[in-house]
Amino acid sequence: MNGVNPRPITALIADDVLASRELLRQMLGKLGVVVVAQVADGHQALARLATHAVDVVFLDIDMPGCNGLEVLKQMQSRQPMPWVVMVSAHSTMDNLQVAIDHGAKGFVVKPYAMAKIQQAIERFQQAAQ
Amino acid sequence: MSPFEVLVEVESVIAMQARDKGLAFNINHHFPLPERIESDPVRLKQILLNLCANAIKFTHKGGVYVDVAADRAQRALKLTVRDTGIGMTGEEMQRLFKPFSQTDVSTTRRFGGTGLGLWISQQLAHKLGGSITCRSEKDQGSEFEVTVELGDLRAEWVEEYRAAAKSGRVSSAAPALSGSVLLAEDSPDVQGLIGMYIRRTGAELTIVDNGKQAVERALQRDYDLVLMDMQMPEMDGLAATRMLRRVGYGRPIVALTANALRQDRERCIDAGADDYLSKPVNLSRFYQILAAFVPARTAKTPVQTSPAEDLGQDPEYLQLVRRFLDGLPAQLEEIARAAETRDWAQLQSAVHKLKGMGGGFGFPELSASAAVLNDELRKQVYDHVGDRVAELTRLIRAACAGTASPRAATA
Repeated sequence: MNGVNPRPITALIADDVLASRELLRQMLGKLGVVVVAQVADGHQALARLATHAVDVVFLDIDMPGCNGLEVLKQMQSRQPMPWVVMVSAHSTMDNLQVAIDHGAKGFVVKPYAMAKIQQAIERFQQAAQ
Repeated sequence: MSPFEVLVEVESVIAMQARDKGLAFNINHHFPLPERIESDPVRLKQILLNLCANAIKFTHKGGVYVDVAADRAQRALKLTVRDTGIGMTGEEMQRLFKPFSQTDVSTTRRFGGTGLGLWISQQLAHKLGGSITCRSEKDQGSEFEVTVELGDLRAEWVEEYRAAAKSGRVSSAAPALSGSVLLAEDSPDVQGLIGMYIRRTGAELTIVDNGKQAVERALQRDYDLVLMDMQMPEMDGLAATRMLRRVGYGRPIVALTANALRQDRERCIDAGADDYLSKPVNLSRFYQILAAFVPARTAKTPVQTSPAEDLGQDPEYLQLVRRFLDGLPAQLEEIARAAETRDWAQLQSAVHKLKGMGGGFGFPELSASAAVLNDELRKQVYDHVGDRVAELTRLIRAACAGTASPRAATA
């Protein structure tokens, strides 16, 4: 975010609500993160990730069909696993525990705030170094 | 010399005198203040001690308040000692700075003293390039303003409470804060007490009962500070702190622990806490930590101190003490039963709880006594359990009977 990265960080957003995806994309854009794909459900997310690798995945939990935690579980068996940040309007302990157990690296609770997104990206950068 | 150091020394002496008399004592720093001034710390301290001790002597309810401010234009440091005491008439004030002249003979009889203190203080103030002036109203209180020369103004200036608190230059008065604090603590007594400490700063407070709720709440909103008790039901503070850090919670977390051992503190830090506080909390350190993490209120004017800000007279505090005392017999019963049945785990848990609370409610000897037994139980030394429990019983009975009155917890 200081413009020192030779290659920008890439991200995928999986969220069924368009407004929510757009807001997150704008915030990430301000941080210099390039959102290479936006999808509206879990199946699309898995399909997309099978063909295109990204650095960070923002994965909404409460999606119809295949929810974010299911996606996370299926992603776990794929290598290399991207850096996954779970996103939810709720911060219930059960969801948190499942997320951690299946390798999520972050958990952001909506409503989005720039500080939360920035923290999530900074953690990825620190880990990537 | 550092004006902060002089004030801390004055506070350490006067705060105790004030407490003994049931009076409030507060030092209000009006930033910016110079880090150092070219003056004589011994003389300045002598002046302040004299004025404060006088103020306490002539005040029977309310408190004594010191305001410190720097006047760059006049190149002067201004220290105002204000009290809510008996005050003086205009005539009495005129005799004030003359040697051997107390306001009248009856004053000498009632309050003692030689009448030399103020005269000497005035001479000292002159030597420091300043003076002492007085304003007073009969039955309303008095205000003495000391000015001393600042000397070289190129010294570094401390801009705000936060900076001063971080380096330990100011102490137990509640700093004026504007941020948000999440307190995770299961004991209603400690919730009440620490909650009150926090509310006195003006910071917004949310209280939860266990680690699970703490995690859920902290993630919903970035608090400026999470105060996390280590021993809680459902999910303890260590696990909650670890979990928050694992999911990327980046804001400050300070651990609250009744275990003051180094390895306990290290465990808190290892789990991801930024700092720790031992219970019962030392109020001055508590406020230092709070001021270090929570943003200061930005209004130019500092919070007005009032007698109600003194803990010992605060109705909320007194109610908390009452509630704590009401709960003591049950705690004692729990301790006695555990000791009798040699249920050491149960005994330690009960004693541990007591240790963390007594001091905060004005019964430091209760905390101290519980700490001794707690340490022995940790080391599995059971030889003195009977004596220790008898001692605790005696202290608890004294507390409940009102023969040992609470001393408001301060530094």
